[in-house]
Amino acid sequence: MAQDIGDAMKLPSFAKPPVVEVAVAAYFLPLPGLDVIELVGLHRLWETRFPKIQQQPALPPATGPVSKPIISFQLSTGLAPVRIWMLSEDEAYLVQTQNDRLILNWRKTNANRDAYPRYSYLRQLYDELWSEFARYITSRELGAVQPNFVEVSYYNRVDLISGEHLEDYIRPLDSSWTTERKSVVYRSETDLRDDFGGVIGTQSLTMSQDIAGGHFGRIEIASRIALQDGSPTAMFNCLDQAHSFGVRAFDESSSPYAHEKWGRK
Amino acid sequence: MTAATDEGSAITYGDARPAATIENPDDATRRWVFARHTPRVTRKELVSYGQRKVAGLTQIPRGWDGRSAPPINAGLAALAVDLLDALIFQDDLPTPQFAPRTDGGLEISWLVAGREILIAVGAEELSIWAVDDDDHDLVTPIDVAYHAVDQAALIQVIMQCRGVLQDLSTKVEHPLPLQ
Repeated sequence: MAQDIGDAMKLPSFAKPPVVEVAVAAYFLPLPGLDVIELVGLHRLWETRFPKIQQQPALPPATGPVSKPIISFQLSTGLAPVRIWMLSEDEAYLVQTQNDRLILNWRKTNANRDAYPRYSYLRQLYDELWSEFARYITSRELGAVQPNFVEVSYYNRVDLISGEHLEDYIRPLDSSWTTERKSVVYRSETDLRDDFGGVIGTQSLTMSQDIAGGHFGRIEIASRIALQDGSPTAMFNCLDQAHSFGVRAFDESSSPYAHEKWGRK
Repeated sequence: MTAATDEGSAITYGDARPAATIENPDDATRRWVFARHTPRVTRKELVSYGQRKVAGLTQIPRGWDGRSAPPINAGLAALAVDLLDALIFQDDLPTPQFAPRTDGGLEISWLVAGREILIAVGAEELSIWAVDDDDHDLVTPIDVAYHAVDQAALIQVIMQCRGVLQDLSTKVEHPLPLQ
């Protein structure tokens, strides 16, 4: 937590960021025993905070930022893996679990219109969830919780007023482009490097504007960092790094006009 | 296993029961499920044991071989666990052994009564084979780069290995304790 606060002091901050969803995630070595029965058992631990539960199809295996390409095959000895959603009463907070990941989402919803609670709060909540998750897996003898990589993702929605275009907010988009366009998309994949130049992760940055679907733009930033070891300390240090890379990318890719609108400090 | 849709199974139900069902081996659809012996090791225990062993291997540091071997790659470790989960399909199967490879991959093997199954999850290629004590193939082996893996061939060799494992399970004289 000390590093988080130190990092936060060095990072730019925005009084009114356009963020509408954040996901904090850790991906771990598969736990085949974490089936639907165990996931429901896990929900009992969290049902006070996340009383609603939904079953979702499992997401495909995620490739880590510095992992070898993987193959997948369909062969099961029992039931197919599932993903469980556990939601807070107002559905602003969502925990997603399946046998290889634990994800905490915060979402701005039409009902709550809550302000973004900030990374430090989500980190603290995720820390509690992760500790309880690891204890549950150990107590149920389901295997070793071995995180491989972490991810912090931001989904921003930029509502455009009349006469505005996404390039007014986003530096990589050339403002000289024709105004006759129906959509604008910018996507980049970047290696994330440590202080010595070694690749430690990847970052994807997607910006799009769909005028037909509503006069707004989207900015999605997902930063993935590979873990050097599976300790909780290392994992949360990597989460903090992913958060920092995401904030810096958001800051560097947005324009002075956007900074003024969003209250950059 | 006891869903209401089992009405169509060959097993008798209703007034005539259950003596006729005892002989029925139709595990997948049968309406009556009778108690079996307590397994020496359950499928769940064995898969969990294997997952812990793979997790342990991912913690070995670079240069673990005294030279420059990389640590075990996380994606390859995940694939090894998926293969293990597919191979260990029932209770009471023999205990696998695990070893790191110097290319960042790992190997899973079973060696019982002179028969051997080897799953080599290498950095660039996947190999699966099983031989008897005369080195005759017990399965249709594969040894192929990941980008060229044929799903049908992979599933076929996994199914064949399951059969070999089932056969090996009857030959285990001194089961290894799970630690």
